Amino acid sequence: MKWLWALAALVPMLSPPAQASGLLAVRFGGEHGHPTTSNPTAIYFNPAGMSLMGGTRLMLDGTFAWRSLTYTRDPGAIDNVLADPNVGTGTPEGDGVAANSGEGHLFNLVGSPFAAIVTDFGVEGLGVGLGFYVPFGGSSSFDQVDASDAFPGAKDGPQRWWAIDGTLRALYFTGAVSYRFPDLRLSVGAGLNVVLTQMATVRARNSDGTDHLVSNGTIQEGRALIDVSSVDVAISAGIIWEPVDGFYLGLSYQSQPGFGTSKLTGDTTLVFGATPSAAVEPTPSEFYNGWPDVWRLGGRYTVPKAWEVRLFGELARWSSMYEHCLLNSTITPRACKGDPPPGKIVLVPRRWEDTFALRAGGSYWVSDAVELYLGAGWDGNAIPDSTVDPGLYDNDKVSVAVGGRFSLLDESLIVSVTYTQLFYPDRTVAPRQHLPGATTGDIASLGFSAPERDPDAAGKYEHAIGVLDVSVEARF
Amino acid sequence: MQWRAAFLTAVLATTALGAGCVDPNGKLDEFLERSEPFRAQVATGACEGRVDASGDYLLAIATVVLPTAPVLFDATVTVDTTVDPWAITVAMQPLAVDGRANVGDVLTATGTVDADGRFDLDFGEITIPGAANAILVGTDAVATLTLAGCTNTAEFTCGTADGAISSPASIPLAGSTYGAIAVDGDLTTADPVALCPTE
Repeated sequence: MKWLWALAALVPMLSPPAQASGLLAVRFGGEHGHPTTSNPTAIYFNPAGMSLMGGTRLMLDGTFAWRSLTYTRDPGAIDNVLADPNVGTGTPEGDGVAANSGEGHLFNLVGSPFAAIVTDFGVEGLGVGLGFYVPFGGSSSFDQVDASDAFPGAKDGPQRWWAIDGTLRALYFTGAVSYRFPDLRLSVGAGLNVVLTQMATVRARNSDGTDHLVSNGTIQEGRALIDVSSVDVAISAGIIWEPVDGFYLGLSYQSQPGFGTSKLTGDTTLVFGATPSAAVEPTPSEFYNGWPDVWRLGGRYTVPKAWEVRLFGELARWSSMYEHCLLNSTITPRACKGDPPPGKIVLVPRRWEDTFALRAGGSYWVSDAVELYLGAGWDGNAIPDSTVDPGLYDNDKVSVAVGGRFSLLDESLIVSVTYTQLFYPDRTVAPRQHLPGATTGDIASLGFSAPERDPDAAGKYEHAIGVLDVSVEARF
Repeated sequence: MQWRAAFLTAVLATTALGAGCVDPNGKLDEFLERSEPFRAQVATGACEGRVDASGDYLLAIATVVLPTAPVLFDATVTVDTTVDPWAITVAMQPLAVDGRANVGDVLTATGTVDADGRFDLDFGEITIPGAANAILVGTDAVATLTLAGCTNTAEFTCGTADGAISSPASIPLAGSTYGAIAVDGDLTTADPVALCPTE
C-alpha cells in the first residue's frame, strides 16, 4: 500500500469543505455529477454510467471552494465562571470569560481533485475505469484572535475547544467496471474502492472534558493533537435504465469504508494542565469513525444537443456517526463502551442523523458546442443542536449552480465550468442548562454519559460556501 | 498532440493545488511556546544526603490533571539501614476525600536509597478507590505510578510522580508531584503538601 501513501503525499492538504450533507463533499462534475451521468464522474456517482459512452476518456476535475464560518460562543456556555480567579477551577470573570467566549472566524480557500480514466477497450457496451477523488471531508483553519496574555490558549479563538486547525477526509482510489445490455436498455456497474482516511487536528482539551481555563490560578486549559489514518475497502454498485430514448433512470449505492466503523491508527499528543513541555510525548492511539453509506436515485431526459432536465436525490446514512472515540492503543483491553470506557482518551458524542438531499437542474444547448446549465438543490442537516460544533459543522442548506460545458477540437476535449453558491441559514444553539451548584453544564439531560463530556458549543453559527468546479475531459 | 501534453500538465498542476495552511503541529507548538511561562517547573529539591526517614507521613500526590486536588495517603516509610545501599519501603493507604478514612488496598513499593538520599519507587498498576479520587470523586482510577525523591529529612520528603492514568481516561502523569509530611497520630487535621518548595 506504499503507493497509496505516496500519492496521498502529493496532495498534502487537499480537502474539500463540507458542502453537502454532513461531511459529504462531492461537487465534482458540477451539474453533471449525478447518478445518471455518462461522464467519468460516474465512477463514483453510479458506475453503471461508465458504459453509456464508448471510447477512452480521461477527466480531470478541480473543485475550488471558499468557506467562511463565524462562530460566536455564548458566555452562557461556559462550564464554571469564577468570581475569584485564584479560587476554584473554571473560567475567571472578566478577561477569562472574554477569553472563553465571543467570536471565532475562518475564511479558507481549499481545493479538491478528481481524476478518472474510463475506457471500453474497444468492446461495445463495456466501461472500465480507474479514479481518484475525495468525496468525504472537511478542513478548517481558524484565525487567531487578540486575547489576554493571562490565558495563553485564548489566542486560538473561542472555537478552539472543537477546532483550531484540522482535516478529516477520505481519499478514494477506485477501480470500476460497467456493462450495457443494449436489448434491455440497461447498464449495470460495480466498483471497488480503496479508501485512505486521514485525520490531523489540534483542539483545546481538558482531561475532564470541560472548558476550564485555570485551577486555583494555575493553567488548566490543554491541547490534544490527533494524527491518525486508515486504509479501508468499500464497494459501489449501480444500474441505469433507459426505458425510452433519452430518458435515463439511475440508482446507485456506495458502501461505508470498512463496511462499518473504521479504525484509524496513529498518535495523540496530550497537553493537560501545567504539564511541563519536556514531558509532552505522543501516545499511540486508535480513532474510531463511522462514514455513511450513500444511496442515490435520479433521472434525466435528454434531447441531444437541444435540452436536458435532471432530478436526483441522495440518502446519506449519517447515523453511522454516533460518536468519535479515541483510545490509548497501549492499554489492553480497551473499548469505546463501558463506564468508564477502558483506555479512553477522548469520547465525543456525535449522534448525527441520516440526511436527504434533492437537486434539480436543466441544460440548454445554444449551439452544438456550447451547453449552458442551471441547477438548484436542498441538502439536509446531519448534526443535531446537542452535538453541533465549529469543528464539524452542518446545517440545512440551499444551493444554486450555474455553468456551462464547451466542446472543443471536434468534441475531443470537453471543458466544464460550474459555480455553486451554498446558502446556510444562521444557526443559534442555546446553552446547556446548569443544575444548581454544578460546575459543569448538564449533559445527562442530553442523553450523554459522563465520559462523553465535551465543552458546550452553544452560540451563533454563520456559514457560507462558494464552489468553483472546473473540469476537462479528453476523449481519445 | 500538443493539447494532450497541456492537459497532462494541467493534471499535475491541479494535483499540486490546495496545499493550504492547515498546520495542527505548528499550532500545538505555538501554544506550548505561549504557555511555557504558565507551565509547571517541577522542583525536585536537591538531594543532600541520606537519612533514615522511617515513620508515618501524610503523603499527597498532586497530579498534573488537577494539581489543586491532591490525592492523599497515609504512608508508612520503612528504611533498612543495615544493608547497602539502604532499602526503602513505602506502604500507602489511600484516604477518603471526605474525612480521610482508610479506603481501598494498601499500595506498596520497595526501592533503594542512594548515598545522596535519592530513591525511586515503582508501585506498578494501582487502583485509587472512588472515595479517595479527589480529581473525580466517586470514580475509581487505575494508573501506573512511580515516585522519585530524596530522603533529606525525617520530617518531609518530596519529588516527582510519574506514570499514566488508564481509567477513567487515558492521561499521562508526567509533571505531577508529591510531598510527604511526617505526622504523629492524627492524619485528619494535617495540612497536605504536595510539592517541593521552590528556591
